[in-house]
Amino acid sequence: MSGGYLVVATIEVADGLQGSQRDRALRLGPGDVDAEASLRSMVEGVDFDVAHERDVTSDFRTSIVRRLDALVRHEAALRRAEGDEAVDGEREKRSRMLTGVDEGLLRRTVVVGRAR
Amino acid sequence: MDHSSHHRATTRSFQEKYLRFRTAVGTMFRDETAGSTANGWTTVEQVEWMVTVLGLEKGDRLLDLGAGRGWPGGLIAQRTGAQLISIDVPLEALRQGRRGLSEQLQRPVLQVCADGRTLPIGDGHFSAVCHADVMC
Repeated sequence: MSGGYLVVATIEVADGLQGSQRDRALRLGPGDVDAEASLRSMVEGVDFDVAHERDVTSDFRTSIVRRLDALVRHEAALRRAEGDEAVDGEREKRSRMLTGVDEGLLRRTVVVGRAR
Repeated sequence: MDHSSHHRATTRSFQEKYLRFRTAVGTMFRDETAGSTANGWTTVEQVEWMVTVLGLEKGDRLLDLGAGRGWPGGLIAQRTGAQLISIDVPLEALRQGRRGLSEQLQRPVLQVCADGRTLPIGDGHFSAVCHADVMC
């Protein structure tokens, strides 16, 4: 191959959110989702040209729902084995993310950059 | 919170994350929810797409930055023959991924417990860097 590539996938705040909407996105999203810049601009900011960008929010939503469904199926056994805190924490965190996606506040993006 | 305190808290938080769901039923839950998505949020289909666009070949070096247990860098390396170097801060994540990666790749895997901001590796060493859900 020639040149160097950087491929980055992350959950980020949806484009153009400001004020209370952005605050809500930060509350619903995972920790450290509060980057000021978009993933694309961060990749460009470290001297890579963006070769590809994919919005994979739909896959992300599917994965969250799958996780929440499995939590329900195994809830009793998980509570016995892992404890209430782990189970409740998992449900709360994933439910928040799902709300964020459904409200259009969170997205997941994959960016591929090529070194300049 | 100052920078070093924040860094320590983040490291501890990630370390604890890898200590959850390690009982038999917890592992079953984790594996079941993995399915096509392995752990984390990256899907197999997304990694296959990365393989296509990266165009790595045998002999290329791939850095998986914030690798956790080694996904998705392990699959990219398996598909392409690239040499994989996995780096992350939580030692527990690297420990958990070690056997699986070695079995998957049928060769030793270099894992480094380090902070991505101060990599113990020189510039220009890698053909590609992958970085999944480290920033959130």
